[in-house]
Amino acid sequence: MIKINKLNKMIGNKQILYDVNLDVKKGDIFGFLGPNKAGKTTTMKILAGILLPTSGDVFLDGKKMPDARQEVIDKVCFIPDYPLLYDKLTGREYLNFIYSIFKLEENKRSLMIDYYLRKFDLNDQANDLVEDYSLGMKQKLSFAAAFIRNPQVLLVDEPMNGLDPRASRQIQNMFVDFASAGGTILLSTHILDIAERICNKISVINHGRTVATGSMSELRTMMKIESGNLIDIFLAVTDASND
Amino acid sequence: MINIFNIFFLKIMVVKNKIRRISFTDAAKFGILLLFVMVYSVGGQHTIALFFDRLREIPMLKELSISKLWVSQIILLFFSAFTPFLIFGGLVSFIPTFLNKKEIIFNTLNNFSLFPIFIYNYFEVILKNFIFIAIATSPLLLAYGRIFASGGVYFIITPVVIFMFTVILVSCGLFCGFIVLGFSPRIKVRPVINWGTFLFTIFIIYNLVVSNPLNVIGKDFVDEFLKYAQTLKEPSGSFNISLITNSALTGIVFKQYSLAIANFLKLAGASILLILVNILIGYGIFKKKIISVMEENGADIGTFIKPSVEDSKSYMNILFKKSPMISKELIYLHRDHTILLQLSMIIVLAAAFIINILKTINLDGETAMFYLRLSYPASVLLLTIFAGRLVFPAISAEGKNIWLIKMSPFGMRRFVYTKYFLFFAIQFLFVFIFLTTVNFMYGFWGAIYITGIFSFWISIILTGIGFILGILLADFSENDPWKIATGLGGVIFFITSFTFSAFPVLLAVISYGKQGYRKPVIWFSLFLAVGTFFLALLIINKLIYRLEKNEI
Repeated sequence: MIKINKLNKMIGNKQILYDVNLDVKKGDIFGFLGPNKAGKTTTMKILAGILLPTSGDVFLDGKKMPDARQEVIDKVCFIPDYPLLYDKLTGREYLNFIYSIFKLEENKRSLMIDYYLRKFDLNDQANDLVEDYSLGMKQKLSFAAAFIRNPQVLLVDEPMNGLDPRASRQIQNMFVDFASAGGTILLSTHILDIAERICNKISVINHGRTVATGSMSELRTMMKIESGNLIDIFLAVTDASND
Repeated sequence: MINIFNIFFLKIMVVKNKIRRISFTDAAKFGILLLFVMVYSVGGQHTIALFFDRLREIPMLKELSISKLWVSQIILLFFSAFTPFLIFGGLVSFIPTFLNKKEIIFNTLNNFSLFPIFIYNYFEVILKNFIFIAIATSPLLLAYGRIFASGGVYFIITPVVIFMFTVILVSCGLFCGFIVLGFSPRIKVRPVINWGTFLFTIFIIYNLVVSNPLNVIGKDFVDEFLKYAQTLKEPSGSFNISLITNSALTGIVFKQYSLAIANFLKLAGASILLILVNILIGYGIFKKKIISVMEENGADIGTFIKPSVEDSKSYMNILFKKSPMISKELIYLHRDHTILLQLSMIIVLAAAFIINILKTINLDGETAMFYLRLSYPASVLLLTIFAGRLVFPAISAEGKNIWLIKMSPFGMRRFVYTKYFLFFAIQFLFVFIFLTTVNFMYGFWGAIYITGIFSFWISIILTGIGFILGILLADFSENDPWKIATGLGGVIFFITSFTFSAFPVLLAVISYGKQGYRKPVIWFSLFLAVGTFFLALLIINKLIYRLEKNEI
């Protein structure tokens, strides 16, 4: 569903990504891990079409990006690490706005908006201005806006920022349900427990290079760690690449 | 010229020293008021009348060089500018001062025993701002006094005038604060008053003080000026405080102390009246409004709460289906208090401008025509400021949400064009209403179609340049449109659009004034307006391609 071959990205004179490779299959919850400034968000932004690759190939659903952006625009949803919302709209108005600009099924508008407001426990605050929401509520509204579009691919950057444990668990469960129904998720996070719990495949990026890719067991074998958790693997991988 | 120099000097100073940014708006605000004073303040109208109507009667002017004549006029205009500057600057500054205290005011209004706190806050603001205004204006007032009066009375009376002025300004600020709060109790406020404005004011005043007009125009000229000023008709400052203040000051200048005392009493009366009105409004409309909002939400009395937008009243939910971008923009125009305050300031300026025209209605044809011609550049300046706030930041104001638009099927093209036509419509409406009213005031009843054409053309220029520069200089990292408008891009927009708008204004004046030229000029203007319209669209279309393809 997502394929990246030898992706390079320069911003100004600084090279951010070096020959990054990724292969995310349909139905995967693909953990994209790395320390701060490793290049995770840049990769996500290139996939979303916000940034352009300096060189290399990026494919979404078999279509080359960014040339085919218009063709896949309905299928992909990028959720950045901070919520992109309009502060002066209410939660309901915002979902209405999203519903309209993504040209979703008109006869289900109220039904869908009410459903997702309830699902994310925003029903009571649906008519409050977004600027009065807490960070967690804003994050939930972001997810509601993403799921209401019914995308096939979710590009999620640090999704748990500001969420309370209940909401965090709820989002994780929704990711699992989404993938079970055939959706694909590329999940960038530094909360390794979450990645370990829900991701079926993981790629570690460090200093702009993909340094390890595989399932948990494959990574354990690769790093020769028999019983360690993802934190141990992550530290081993990044330490090795730093050396 | 000095004003423009000051703007750039201060910009450089700020960049060099990395001190607080002094916004272009502050400078522009001052600049517009300087020009505005030409038809607004008493001193300005005296000067204009003197310069164009009676100046030639002064024998010594025949000996005065043209350059000295102009310099003297400019300096006099500077002096006459201070009252409107204080009025509008004061309003803009003091409204947020009170809004920042909204919780104190609110709680006080809910509990009568806290009334002394309310009064204390009221006078605290007055005293604090008295110091600010006194420091900022004293040199100017003293310089004013140095030219027109030599006695010590002026120096004694100056602080009294400033104090009463402060009371009125702060009261007006509170009054407007109540109105804004009453309309929208949910607003959050950011202080507008800043040290940048203060520094800028001081700098301008310093320039005025060091360029002592006596060095330029000489004592004889001042004597002649005073002699002729006495023969002028009643000052036409209309309803404003500057009329009373100027009359009070003029009373001292001409040693007519009864006139001065009468006007000081008027000032004091106005102060007391405004305080009483504010207290009445505070205990009436404002409190009632908040209590009703609280009762609806079942909140405890004494807690300041932000009410929800009731779903049934969440207007636009229906319009969202058809035009999401327009709905969103209209909601922002309504709910964003900074837009509300800034646009209301511009609209107040426009209203004051128009009301002052009433004073020229009885003038003879030639003088009225002169005022009309004079008022157009000032009008365009107002319209440019309006566009600078509304149109230029329209693209950048989307902030990081531009990603959402780019990643949606709605697309950048539709996004830009929707905003373009929406803001064009708003701009056209403002320009048309404003210019039509100005024309009607001057008795040009049959010229509405000319006004329509020129309003169309000026709106195209302002919206076109606003969007072209808005896309070229887009900054999506800044979420505050006001900062976008006051940055370097805003300066470029302001200068460019003001320059280009001068052309239709020139043609408009010709078409109003010269019957013989009217038809060809109008046809030519219409042709150019349509041409500008398509040219602007062509350039915007090319620039949208950049937005679509490039990184943002």
